[in-house]
Amino acid sequence: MISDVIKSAKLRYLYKGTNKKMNTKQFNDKILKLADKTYRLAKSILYDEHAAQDAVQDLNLKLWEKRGKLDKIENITGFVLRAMRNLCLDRLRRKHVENELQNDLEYRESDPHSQLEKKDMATRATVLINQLPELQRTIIRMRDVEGLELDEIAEITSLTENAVRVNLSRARQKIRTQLLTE
Amino acid sequence: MNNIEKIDRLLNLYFAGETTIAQEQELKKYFASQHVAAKHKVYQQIFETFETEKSEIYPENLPKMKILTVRKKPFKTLITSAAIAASILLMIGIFRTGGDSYVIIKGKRINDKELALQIAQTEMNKISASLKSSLKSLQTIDHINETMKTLHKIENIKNKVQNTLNKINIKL
Repeated sequence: MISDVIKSAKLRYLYKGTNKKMNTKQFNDKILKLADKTYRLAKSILYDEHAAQDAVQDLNLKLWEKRGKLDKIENITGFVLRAMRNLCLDRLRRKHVENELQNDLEYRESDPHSQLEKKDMATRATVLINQLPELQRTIIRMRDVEGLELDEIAEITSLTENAVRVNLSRARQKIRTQLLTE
Repeated sequence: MNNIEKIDRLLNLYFAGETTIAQEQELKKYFASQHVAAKHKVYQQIFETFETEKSEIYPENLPKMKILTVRKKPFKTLITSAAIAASILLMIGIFRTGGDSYVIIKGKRINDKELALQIAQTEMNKISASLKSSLKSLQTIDHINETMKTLHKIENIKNKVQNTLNKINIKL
């Protein structure tokens, strides 16, 4: 999965004249310090704390295995967030297939207690953000929570900067419209 | 332009996706203050939500990387193996004086060819067993390729010693 990401990503390489693998300290300083960001992104996409924690673990392990190539990547934050998003989307796709198979077998109603708990904990704005399509949800959080520039978000989402701006605007306007009409 | 008009203008830019990071910081600061105008109150929770989400962190009690805790033992074993190999090599001295050849193993002078080879072989087997043990531990971790290089050097030393012993076997 990650190897595909590495192969397909439009990475800007910065050769430093060395091909040494990252050591533990470099890996801690460059990759593990992004755990909060990757965790928030995973949680935003997967809607589940534990699944997000698992995703962070898996991503870090896969990046550790690929640490020989990480040293050459110029924008490591963008690369890691992009890899995290792709990993989460891959898991959602797999889950979707599994759910379709499950639904063919039986109808399952979601647990009302957990639904209520989630509703109480979240603010109205959080609920509205979570109702956005994944792309808009990811973009608005990358901008308004993580404070990333539009070109960085464009690199992570494989969109043009203008497409990011349009999606960001749509996401914000949807939230405003919902809040004003309630 | 008063402050309310300025915020109105920034909000319009914000919802159009046209604000800069600095302008968004200004909005966040305004909505975090005690002076939010009544007409802007409806937007306050948006900015509050983002600030709350930003404070959410990856749980500290979870290991960030399991793999980082399993490096020392195999490396220590490797060093021990290398030390054993080096000390045995030092212990085995090979001497030739004129036409009379003998070997000194662990401080003892041995003239018997068969006995010398037997003792040397036993010591070599110990090195080999030690190396195999190190290899087994190392195979459990990802750094096998790097550490194997060092092991290969020891294996080369072992081979050189073996060659030397073979030569002794011929000349004795």
